[in-house]
Amino acid sequence: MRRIKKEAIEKKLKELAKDYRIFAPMNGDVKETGGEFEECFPRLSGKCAFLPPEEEILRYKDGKVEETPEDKPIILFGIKPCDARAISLIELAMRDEKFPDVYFLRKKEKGIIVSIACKEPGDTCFCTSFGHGPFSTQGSDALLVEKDDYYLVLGNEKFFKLFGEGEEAREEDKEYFEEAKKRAEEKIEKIPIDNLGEKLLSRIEDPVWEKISRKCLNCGACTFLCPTCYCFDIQDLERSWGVSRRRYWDSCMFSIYTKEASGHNPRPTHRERVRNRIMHKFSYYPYLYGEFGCTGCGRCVVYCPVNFDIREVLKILGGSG
Amino acid sequence: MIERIREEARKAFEEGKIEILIGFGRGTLRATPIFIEKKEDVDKLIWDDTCWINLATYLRRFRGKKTGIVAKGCDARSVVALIAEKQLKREDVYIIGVPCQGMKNEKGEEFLSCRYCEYPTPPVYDVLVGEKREGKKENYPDVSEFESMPPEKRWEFFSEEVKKCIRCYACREACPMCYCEECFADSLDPRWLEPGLSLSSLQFWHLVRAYHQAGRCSDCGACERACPMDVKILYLTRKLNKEVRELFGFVTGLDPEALPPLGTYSTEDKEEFIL
Repeated sequence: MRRIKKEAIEKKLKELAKDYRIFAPMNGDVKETGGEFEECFPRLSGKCAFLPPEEEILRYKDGKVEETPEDKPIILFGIKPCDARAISLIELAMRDEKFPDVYFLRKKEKGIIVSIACKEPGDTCFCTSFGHGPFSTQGSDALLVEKDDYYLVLGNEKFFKLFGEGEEAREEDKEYFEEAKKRAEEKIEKIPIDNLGEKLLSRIEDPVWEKISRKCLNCGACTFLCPTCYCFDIQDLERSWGVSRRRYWDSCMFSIYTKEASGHNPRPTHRERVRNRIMHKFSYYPYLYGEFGCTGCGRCVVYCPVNFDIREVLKILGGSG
Repeated sequence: MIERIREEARKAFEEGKIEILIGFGRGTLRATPIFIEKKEDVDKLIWDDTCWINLATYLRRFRGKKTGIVAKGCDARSVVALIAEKQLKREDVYIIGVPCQGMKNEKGEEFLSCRYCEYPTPPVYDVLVGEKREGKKENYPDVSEFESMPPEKRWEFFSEEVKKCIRCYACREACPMCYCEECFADSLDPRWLEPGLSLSSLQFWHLVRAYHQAGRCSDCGACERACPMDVKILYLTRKLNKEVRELFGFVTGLDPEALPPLGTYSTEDKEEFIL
């Protein structure tokens, strides 16, 4: 563990804005900044940096296909550890052997993710349920913990090369780290998830899905704000100079998400759509990639217009509610 | 109040008036919609100032079933508007009307739509629970404020607000009147508007959404409250409601027999914009 002066890191971040695109929480959402950031739990998550709501992937111009050139590398700074973890979870799907997602991966490979430990988790957080927590380092090139005018840093070479190494942390820093970590973890509700993937699969035709999903309005608020939801749609748009092929966030909550050209929709109602969202995160994802597709950040709980609470759903389906 | 609501709900089940009841139950953060199928469950119903979802949104899912709804003034007006548009049959809906005390956000502040609410008491109901409440007669002071801005300021305000939108369509899905089989925003052939978050797409979405509500919106405000990004949109529908009242003397959701102005034509219609 190292300790680096806060102002040194803040100054460095502003300098790096010349050669990097900096994304950080600002005015309540993760967005591109000039190196500024604010400490908050942002509404739009860290995924905006690597999987923006909209991006061009290629152009068709003068009879030729032009790949969209790479932009400057990205520094995603100041997010909570759950958001950093989320990006590593998205990467599992994007790194698919047959169809690797080059647009995500090229950004991810050159990018740097710096998270700030979550000393004051919220009432809707349940990150510890998944074996990680408010001080998790998974997905972060560095985890910073605020202490007075220093950051205590658990980081990798990539981070220290850019931001400097500071000095070796003292014994009292390590104690502070452990104590703050324990205090934060104790505040967080743990949802039992033993064999959740299997349990869900065995209940796929259970009538309980109809009950659970009834109040869902099938808007996309939960999926768009979710730091691990990565579904996108690709469309070709006409421009005066040719065609722009772009991708956009899409949501499995929308009825048109699965609507086929014939008009048939294999997920015709809220029941199938909600079931898919839950199954994907808690059954298919662990089956395919060995991890749940959820970090327990609680955004879908906070921002759902009808207070659909995924924690309650997991308790019911996991057999403890 | 809540005991009266539960009592009327129980009675409606016992008398065979309803097969299912849409009401509010205790959620984890605030009141949440619940669907009751037997009288033993009516004790799950609650009533407080976080019951701000417009429950009429769910009614079309239960078409063909005798459906009860716990409705505040604006919910009941949306039910009436849905009946007027032939989306529901009056005899299939059983309205347990609740004179509304006004709904509040998590900070305890009353919502704008409630602050200026003209019809806290459902104008149409099968049974009314509690004393009637008088509405306010202030004729859209918030809209007048918006109207007093010069056009370029109004456009700027509108544009700054819609820039926050992520097109999750929570506003659309929370609205009882947004029931189109295919929303213009989802249509690919013809593609009325592009996907994505370009300013013109966002402006297009919000303007057309609002225009489709003219004379159909009950001012409930559920659209704006559903928005996770805090985009202000209520002033648009409220402006159109004000216009519809001035031009056609029509107020949405008071009479299931009255034809909505956009669904009818009269030679008496004002045409001031032509001359």
